[in-house]
Amino acid sequence: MNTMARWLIFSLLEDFLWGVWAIFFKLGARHMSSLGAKLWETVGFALVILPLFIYMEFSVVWSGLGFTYSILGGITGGLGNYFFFNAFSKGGKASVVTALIATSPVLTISCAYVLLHERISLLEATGCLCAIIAAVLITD
Amino acid sequence: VAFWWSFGYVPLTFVLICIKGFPRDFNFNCAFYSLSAGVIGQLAALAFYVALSSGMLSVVTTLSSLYPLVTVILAVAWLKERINKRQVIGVAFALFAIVLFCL
Repeated sequence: MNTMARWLIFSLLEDFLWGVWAIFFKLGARHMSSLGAKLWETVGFALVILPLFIYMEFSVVWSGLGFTYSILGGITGGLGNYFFFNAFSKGGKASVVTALIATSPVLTISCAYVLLHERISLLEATGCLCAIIAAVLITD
Repeated sequence: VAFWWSFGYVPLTFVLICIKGFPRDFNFNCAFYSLSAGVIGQLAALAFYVALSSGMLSVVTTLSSLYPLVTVILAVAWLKERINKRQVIGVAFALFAIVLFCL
């Protein structure tokens, strides 16, 4: 498997898993508060990470910078996730909330360009534009 | 990364519980679905890290934002929800984007 195929396959696998996750979360949040659903979702998170940590024999590679960025990633990811479901419980229209969130790659692409100096090809840029349009249209 | 990411994610829920109070509502089916969502979400996060380790952040993140495509397909097939013309066009755009990334 070449490098490009690897990231593409795992990105599509992630798409599939997040797609299923959204269905399960919707079913879970039907008769529970967003915080109640999030509590059980967190238990599910721990159920995956703990066996993984045991499998790795508790050998986590230490890096101060890696630790800081990963923790920040977890906190911002968790807060983003919580605000996402809170937006619904506060009366936000599903179509508006999800469409707004679907445009988040615009911020990521801008940050990757400015902070990480990533340069994407014209084909990839067209793909990104189509993906953003698709995400906004699908989450109607 | 996945481990330390969870180290930030998991305690956050407990901080939110401390601020908002412990949720009193409980429904077995809903708890099961939410717990399953957590397991699947963590696996998705792991796939994201593997993709990021060899792909560019800008491209991987944008491709990841296509996950509603799967949700729409599952919502139609499983929850019997109906989709409109706008979403059908969106699905076409999503498939076109995936083709472009594959080239």
